[in-house]
Amino acid sequence: MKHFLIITLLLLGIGSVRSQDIVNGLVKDDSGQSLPGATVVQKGSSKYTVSDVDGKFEIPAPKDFPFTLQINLTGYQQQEVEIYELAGEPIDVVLKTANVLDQVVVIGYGTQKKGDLTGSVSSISTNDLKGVPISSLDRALQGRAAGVQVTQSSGQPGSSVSIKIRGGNSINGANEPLYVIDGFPVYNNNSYADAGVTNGPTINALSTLNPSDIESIDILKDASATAIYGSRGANGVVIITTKKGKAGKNVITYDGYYGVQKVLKTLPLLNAQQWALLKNDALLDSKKAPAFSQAEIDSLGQPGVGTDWQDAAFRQAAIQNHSLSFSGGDDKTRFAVSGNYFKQDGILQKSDFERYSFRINLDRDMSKRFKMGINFSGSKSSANVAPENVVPNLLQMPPTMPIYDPTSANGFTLRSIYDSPLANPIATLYLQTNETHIYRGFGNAYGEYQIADGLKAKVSLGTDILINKQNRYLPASLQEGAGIGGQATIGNKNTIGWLNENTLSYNKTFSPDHALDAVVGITQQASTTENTVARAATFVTDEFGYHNLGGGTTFQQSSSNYFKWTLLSYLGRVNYTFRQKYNLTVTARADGSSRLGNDNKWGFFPSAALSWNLGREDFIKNLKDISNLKLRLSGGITGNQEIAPYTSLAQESYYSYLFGRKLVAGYAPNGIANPNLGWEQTAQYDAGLDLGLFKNRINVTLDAYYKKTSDLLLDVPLPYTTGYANAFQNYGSVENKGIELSVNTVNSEGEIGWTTDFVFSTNKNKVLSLGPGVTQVISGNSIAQVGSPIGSFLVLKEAGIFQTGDDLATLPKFNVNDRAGSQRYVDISGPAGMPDGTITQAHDRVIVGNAQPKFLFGLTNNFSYKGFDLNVLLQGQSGNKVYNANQANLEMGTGYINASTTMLDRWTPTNPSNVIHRAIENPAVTVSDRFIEDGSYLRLKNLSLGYSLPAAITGKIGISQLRLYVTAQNLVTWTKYTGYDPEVSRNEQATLTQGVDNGVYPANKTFLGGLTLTF
Amino acid sequence: MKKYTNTFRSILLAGLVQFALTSCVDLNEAPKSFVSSDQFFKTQADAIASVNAIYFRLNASGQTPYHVLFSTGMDMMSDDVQPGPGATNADVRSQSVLSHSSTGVRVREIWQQHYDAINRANIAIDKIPAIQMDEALKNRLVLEAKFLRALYYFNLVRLYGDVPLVLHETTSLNPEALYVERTPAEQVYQQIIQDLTDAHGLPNDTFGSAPRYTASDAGRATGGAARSLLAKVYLTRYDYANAITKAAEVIEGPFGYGLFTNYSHVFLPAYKNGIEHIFSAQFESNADSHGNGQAMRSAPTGIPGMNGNFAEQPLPGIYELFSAKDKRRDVSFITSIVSPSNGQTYQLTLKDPVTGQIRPNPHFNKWFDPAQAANLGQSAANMPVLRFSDVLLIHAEAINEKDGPTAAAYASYNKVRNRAGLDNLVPGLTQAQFRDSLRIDRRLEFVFEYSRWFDLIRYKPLTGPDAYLIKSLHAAGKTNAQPKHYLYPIPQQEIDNNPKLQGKQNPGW
Repeated sequence: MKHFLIITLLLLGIGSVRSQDIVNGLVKDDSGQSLPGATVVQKGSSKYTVSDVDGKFEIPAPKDFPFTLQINLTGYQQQEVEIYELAGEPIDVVLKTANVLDQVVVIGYGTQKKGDLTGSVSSISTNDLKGVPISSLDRALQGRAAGVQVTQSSGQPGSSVSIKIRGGNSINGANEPLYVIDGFPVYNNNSYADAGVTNGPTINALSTLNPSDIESIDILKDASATAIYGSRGANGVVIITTKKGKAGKNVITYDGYYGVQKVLKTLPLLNAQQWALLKNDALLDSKKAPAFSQAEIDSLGQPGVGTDWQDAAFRQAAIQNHSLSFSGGDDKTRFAVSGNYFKQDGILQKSDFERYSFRINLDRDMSKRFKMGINFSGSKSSANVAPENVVPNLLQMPPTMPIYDPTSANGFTLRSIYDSPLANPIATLYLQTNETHIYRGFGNAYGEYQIADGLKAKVSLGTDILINKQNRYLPASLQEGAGIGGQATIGNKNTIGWLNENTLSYNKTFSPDHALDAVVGITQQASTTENTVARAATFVTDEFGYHNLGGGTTFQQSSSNYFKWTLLSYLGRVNYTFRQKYNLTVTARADGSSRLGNDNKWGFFPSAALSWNLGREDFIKNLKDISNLKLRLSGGITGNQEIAPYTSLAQESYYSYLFGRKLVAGYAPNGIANPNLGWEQTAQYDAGLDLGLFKNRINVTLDAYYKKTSDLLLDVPLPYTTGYANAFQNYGSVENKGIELSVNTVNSEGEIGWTTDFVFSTNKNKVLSLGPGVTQVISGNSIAQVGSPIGSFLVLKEAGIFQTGDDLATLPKFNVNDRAGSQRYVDISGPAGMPDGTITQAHDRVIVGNAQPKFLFGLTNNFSYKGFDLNVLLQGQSGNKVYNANQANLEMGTGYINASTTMLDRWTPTNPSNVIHRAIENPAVTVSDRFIEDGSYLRLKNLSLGYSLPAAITGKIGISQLRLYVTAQNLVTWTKYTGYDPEVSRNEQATLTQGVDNGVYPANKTFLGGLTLTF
Repeated sequence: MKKYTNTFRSILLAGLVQFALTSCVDLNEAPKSFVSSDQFFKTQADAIASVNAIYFRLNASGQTPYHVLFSTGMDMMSDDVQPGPGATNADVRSQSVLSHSSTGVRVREIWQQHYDAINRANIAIDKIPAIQMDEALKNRLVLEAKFLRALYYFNLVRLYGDVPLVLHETTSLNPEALYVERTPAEQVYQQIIQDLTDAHGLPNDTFGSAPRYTASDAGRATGGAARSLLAKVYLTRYDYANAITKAAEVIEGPFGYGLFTNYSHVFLPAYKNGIEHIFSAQFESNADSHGNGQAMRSAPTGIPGMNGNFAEQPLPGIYELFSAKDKRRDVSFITSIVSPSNGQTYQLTLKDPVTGQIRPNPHFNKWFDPAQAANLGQSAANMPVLRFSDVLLIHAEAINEKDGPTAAAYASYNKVRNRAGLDNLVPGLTQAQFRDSLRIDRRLEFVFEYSRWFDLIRYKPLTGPDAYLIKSLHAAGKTNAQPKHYLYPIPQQEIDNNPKLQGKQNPGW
């Protein structure tokens, strides 16, 4: 208590200390630059201070000499200074930049010095993320870590992101990594944030957490690193550590930015006159009378006539973020409290995402041996989501259709008056209610007791509460709700998870030769979800919206359901280091999961790894230029359990029927129980090399890996005679192999600072087998076929256009009545295994590329000059294909919907195009290789320029740091892709059907300005 | 401070020990929002529900046998029906001109859904006997399941020929359990006959004599339905003597069946489950997606206030085949329509692309529900599977084939003709003349009731240049028809997934 009082007094700055007992000092780096913010502690006491803006500090001296001051600053090696007497001159403290090998990396259930690491781990510094506008932390990984593929699946603010670390392992199971947030493992299952009511892109469950709370991100990639997470490690693990308070004076930081976003680009579509001509051509092709007279066509050519639907739908949208944090602490208590407001308007009218969040991190040393702490964050996130028909409709609405109709009740036209009755997408955006609200409370508390020297026991208890509420109303005045007189739907989904972890760790250096770091533990985790959806239709008025389901006169079935999963685990890891040169890590985890079959609930996941710090061997030490050289080798088995609960059971499903004109309930099983359903296993081998050159000015990390995933959790098709179509079974295998390279260089130090971080990775994915008799799994135009990568595209190959005079009787046709101007395809095969003279989906589709990139890269350059800093991130990928379904629809040429300007070059008797078919009202709906486009791109992802006011100025106004910055995101994209953006995935996190661009909310570019203010 | 430490130490150790030794999580799954199958089949209610689920497959929403699937996957191949502009599925369009293959989606769906239903029937038949419950009800439920299993197998064996005869639930994923061989059609028929003979013991319809169903069970399989279906099975097997016996049992028995005076009552929801309806797939408006979407599919597009999508249309000629005084014509077809929103009458006409002539463009109208004019997909019109006029015509046909056109054959046939407003059939016809006339009347009586294809593949001659099916289809312009079309192909996907079917495709496919 006494200590506490002194600290409080000190903190309040009213402690009275005699001036003659003060030690003065100056903290500098080895180039002589003064270092503010360093913590200076008198060892063995509670006295401490922090260096000021000029690097100066004062600390009261004790009565007894000598004493030791310990000086700490992130990024620098700790320094101790012994004081024998009070000198008049200030003490110079020179801090050396921290050695790479001494950097601490967060691994599962502990931390490790980089030098002792045996596994493949990428770390991302949050310095790079300053002022980068991201709605969720997973977006921060893009272009900043080797081997991590980040795909923003949609431009809807707050929407989901797909992350694949070292390629995708699973065909039907999930491929997203495990996130461990302050020790709490979270699989980012976006379905928990989706009650099933809101239509359109799913909102990312991770967007509920404030990215500016993050201190560091460590990505565990190989089996040595991930095996400690056993059954959930196979897709990689992303460890998130949030900001903690530090002993020292209170720090108050405000960070805020405001900016505007606009759509990356719009697609070139026909104008009103061009479309009218196409319509007439299509009608003529069906021997029908034209829809537009020459006079009408002429008048449609006047300026300002016709509707540009894209122009009406897109807007300049605001984005803003405000974070305020308080942190500090003394030698016994550390705290950090933060609050955040984030609001991103969508570039489509009326869509947005908004988040309010707060976080508290608190750690307290209760005694010398016992420490406890808590971290908790709460948030409310809301989104107005653009319904999924909006983008297709605004592309396909004929330009002769007006947006507004003064005679209609709501002022909008209802729908296209042409053959395809598309709803007015602008009316949909303005009048449809389609919203989701996510409330999340996430946190854990721990107690850690030091039983003996180096031996610690830790117990933690955490919870993750995720409550989702969704509302939708289709007004009767909109096309979507007109048929049924308005339809209201509300949904709730509540997921309550808890986690308990109990670990015993032992860390001891026995002699200069032997060091041991071991951990064993028992953990248990459970999660329960309850989901309710209620709906009603046919309302007297649209006024109620979704607020009065009782007012609907048409009954609609409501629904509810429940599911729960549990996981019980035993884990252990031993790191042994010999002479600081040879490191051995052995890890094992046993997981029991409720999701798997009764006979196969338990899995065992071992791994072993070796590393050799060659750099510490004398024969390397003597080479002046090599400052660090390490070889790493690891192998192990990890798992994947991401299937829905109850998959192994035969569930009795509800089927209703009618007797006496009344509904009766029926029940029948929906599948065959599979008590043997077990883990999907990934065996992974990794060989890596870490090289530091020229006093670590150049650091290179190179990894090669091979992963084989077997016993896939595969939804295997069954003979229908069983009564069922498929059953989840452990069948088949997939391999991924690749190389990862990251190079970090310090190009210039001192007045002009320049550092470069380059990451590059390749991955080659191949399906090895799919179970007995199965050679392919097809979903739409995507296929997983033995010998090919998952997510290959299966389409017809075009062979030009039928020309006048072609021998239609003998050439292979898709439709019997194909003629001049119709699309030709290559006759690949037939029922007898050879070309049969007709084109069919069954026999003539071939694999044309796949959605997985051949390589990914990111290049970050940081420059500093005086107070200025500049961050430039170039990022991209190469070799992946995107199925441009938007374009396929826009080249139908039916005259029912609008078309791409490519249709201007359509086949006519006088324009014998060999690429674009003629206008035709009912073309066969096919997907051909021309729409499987190259999705490679290079993007100037981030360009950020900051200026920090000199300490001399800020110091006068009581501010320790003030940085102003401007940022441009997605400023330039170089790509051959003709759609909105090559970074797209209609099917979000699905692996098999990735890379489909079909009416996806387009991406944006952002310009913003902000400031960071620290007191 | 020391005291604190001790307290914390004990709490911590106690916590650790407790968590380590007794885990709070249970790895066994205990679902709440559904019952797992091993927890089912314990009560009378479970038994009833398991049988209800077999009926569900008859006509569930989407495309199911007695709801659209037998139109897009079967009748569209016939000389009655063709796809309308609203039918955009390429597989359906190719099947309607008989250029389809074993990968056709409807070919697969008919197979798949029938086996799904059969598996449900097998489960009920296997498991209900062990339940402690009312014995009479138990017996009835098992017989309902047998009736339905027989109906589903009868459809399969007629369409696909030899089909795997599965009579018990598939409970294991072992290859021995999953892969089954094709069973000779003869053996499948024996099982159908056995199941239907057992099902004679079912109660009668609400209007029949005791034992009968209560009104709240109207729509369940009856003893009369079992006899009627068996008559049809015998007729299909050209076993005329047994067909006559069974049809006569239905006509003369205590079942209460008769013909509606007005042909339109057969289809209007107000008269559903009436004296002519021996067995029907049940539909209802706004009741958990049980509307009859066939109404929407046959209605025209572009009528204000109506949501027709014109996916099905009569082949030219079928409308003209009705005589003007045949009351069935204007019930089966509609040539003008009144908009429910503006009250205007719209003539359904078509401009001939060649001659430029305007001619009537009749649409099918059997499943139109006047109460659901604005929301056609919610039609409550039932789909008859067996009705009394069918039994009368089976009776007449079997007698004619066995003994020639006797008075009894005339009597049954004329009942159907007279109700349609037609005169008695000309007396003194030869067997062949009687047969030809009856075949036309069967076609007119049951147009668009998923009956025509089954008749076409049954009518003799089955081979040669005059094969009835091929001749009829060629006459209707479907020149792709070949002898292989007497049987469907086994779905390619099924062959791919079952090694025991490999190399066992039907001839010609």
